[in-house]
Amino acid sequence: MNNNNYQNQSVLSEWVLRKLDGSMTDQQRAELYQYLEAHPEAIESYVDLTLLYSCLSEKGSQLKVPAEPLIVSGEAYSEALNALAEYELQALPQEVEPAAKPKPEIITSISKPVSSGPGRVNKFSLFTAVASLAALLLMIAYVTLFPVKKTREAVAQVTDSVGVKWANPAMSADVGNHLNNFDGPRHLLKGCVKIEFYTGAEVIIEGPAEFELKSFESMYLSYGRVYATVPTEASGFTVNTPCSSIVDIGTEFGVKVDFDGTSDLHMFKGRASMAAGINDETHPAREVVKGQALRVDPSTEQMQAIQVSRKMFARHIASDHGMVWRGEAFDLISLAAGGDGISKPGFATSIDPRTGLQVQRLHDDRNVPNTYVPVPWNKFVDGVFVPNGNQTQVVTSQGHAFAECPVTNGVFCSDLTMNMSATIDDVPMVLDGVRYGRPGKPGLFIHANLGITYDLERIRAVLPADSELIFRSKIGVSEEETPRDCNADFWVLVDGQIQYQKRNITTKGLCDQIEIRLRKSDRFLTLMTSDGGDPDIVGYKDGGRATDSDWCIFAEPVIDIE
Amino acid sequence: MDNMDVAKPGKAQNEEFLRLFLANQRAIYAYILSMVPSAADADDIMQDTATMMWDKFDDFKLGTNFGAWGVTIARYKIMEYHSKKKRNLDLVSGELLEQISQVASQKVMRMDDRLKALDQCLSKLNEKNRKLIHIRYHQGLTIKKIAEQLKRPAAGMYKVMSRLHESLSRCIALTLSAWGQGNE
Repeated sequence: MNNNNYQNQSVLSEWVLRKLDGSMTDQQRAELYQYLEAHPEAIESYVDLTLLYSCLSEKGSQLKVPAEPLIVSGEAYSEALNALAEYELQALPQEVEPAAKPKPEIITSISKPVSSGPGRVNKFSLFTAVASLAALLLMIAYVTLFPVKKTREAVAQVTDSVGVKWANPAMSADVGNHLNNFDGPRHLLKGCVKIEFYTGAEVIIEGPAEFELKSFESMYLSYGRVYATVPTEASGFTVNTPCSSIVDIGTEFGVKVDFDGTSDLHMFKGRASMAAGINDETHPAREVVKGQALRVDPSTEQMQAIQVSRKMFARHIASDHGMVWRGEAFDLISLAAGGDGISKPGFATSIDPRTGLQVQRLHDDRNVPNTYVPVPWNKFVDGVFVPNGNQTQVVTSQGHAFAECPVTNGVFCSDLTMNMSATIDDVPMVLDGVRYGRPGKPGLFIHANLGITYDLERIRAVLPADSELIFRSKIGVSEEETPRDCNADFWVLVDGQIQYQKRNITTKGLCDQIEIRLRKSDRFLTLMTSDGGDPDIVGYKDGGRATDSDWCIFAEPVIDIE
Repeated sequence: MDNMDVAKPGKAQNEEFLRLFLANQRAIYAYILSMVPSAADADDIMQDTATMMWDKFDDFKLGTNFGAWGVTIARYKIMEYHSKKKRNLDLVSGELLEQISQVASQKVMRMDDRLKALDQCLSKLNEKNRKLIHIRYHQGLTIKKIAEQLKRPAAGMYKVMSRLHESLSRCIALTLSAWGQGNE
């Protein structure tokens, strides 16, 4: 289906709605009938849409809507409505006040009329021939006298921005602003701006960029990058560039336009079509699906396949956190250190499990109760603890208990350490021959007995809605050079339930891979190590504790996003 | 008076009519809706059609298609309506009405299936869109009123709603097709 078809379908749908709710002018009705006369194949769609209206009118009273109640009044009603969208009334076109529509009555009793009265003459057939001619004349006159006039109106709203700088303050687009078609081009020097079209399509434009909103369902990108998320109901959303036209088919895609006009389309979800030229029917459109990318050369208007770039586009922004997400996995070490999980590594080096405070790491055996301790300075870390199953082990601030928690010696010997230097006490952290605790190879040093719980709800809050999260990490006991034996357990819990366990690791340096697909209802992710259950002192060469030599590492732990 | 009493249909006939009418009224109403300028007009014609159907029920042969019979009567009432409102005929041709009538009279015979398909399609909507449908059809707010309440441009709200309806309509067509009922 090409763009025109999409637009026609959408226009037809609007005509039917206006017709049935009584807000259609005679002029608009003439347009509708003219369209159906010219496109008899659209009659079926017209009837389908009408029947849909009828079905919805009947279904309306039975609609089940989850979450908060909908039938509300007064302030609560306004709140419920306002929660649906953030738009503001602006530049309203004049419209005919719709007539109040009485609901079709269900007939429950019938009484036969006393008399049916005389039959009435049906003059319809008499009028038919006259009407056909009149309608034809009207259509000709209408097209001649009233060419389609495009009105300037608000077509979208700015919903968020991060670090933006505009070339012309008079043509900026601040959060909350409504943007009109025909405003002319806007120049974004740097930063990212998120714009929601009223039809539902959402775009993030990253500077430097020059763009213009053309209609409720189209925009023009002279240069720069735009990432579009288009729900099904907004299918047909179009991005035009100096040398191409990209039409969405219910997708997520990125468009990059260089200063010379070279235009790239990168598909991340669903399908879209790309054609060289704009509305140039001499260039057939090519369909592009998820994982593919196409480039149009402006000088030759030739298309060629290119490698899709997963991290080229700003796909989500969250000004609350100053965050721009390009599809990267969230680094759990950065999050624990107070960073954003993407570009900011964070400032903290270690967390004391007794207080939840950030500290300089201390390596010293300390025996403590298994109390769950919140970490209030860190919005992504819910809490920390020193596990011991001799009493109920709480592992979240909501009181989730880890029922299978083993009994330990209740000792931790090193604070939970995020920004590991290349060595711990001059000993490198090595798993399977790979050294961790250096740039590009982060490691969470979580020497038994320790536990840390992340708040998945807060992580989701900075991600695109409905993101599918996957926890990935490598684990193992570091190949440190002391001759002492290790015996450690690794655990990954979700809301206190075991998702992964590796018990009694007695070989140093072995690396295991973890991948856990998280459900949307999952709230807390806990990473934990324990001492393997061996007794203190007995059986150890230097008379050590059960925790000795349990140099546990979660290497490159991330939350990946699909 | 006595003669009139004798002419009244019996209780059984009354109940039979009611049963058939209730089972078919949504199809008849949908047909009318496709043929007239507004839902308000459709309501009036529906009432007239119901009256005439009752009036002519003696002519209806039990066992034949009551819905199709009702559509035929509705068609007569619709033509009568257009004849009265000459202005409508200035805008729509008889040929076009005939084409619409042919398509609609077939499609409305599957209204029950459409409703079932609609159930499925509504369940696929996100919460925001389901709420919009709810407000429009359950709470009965006009689209313009919804736009006012949301402080959004009415034109934009029409675009949103039309996209939403188009999407649902496409979903229903696909669902019916999957059920093997696409060719109505």
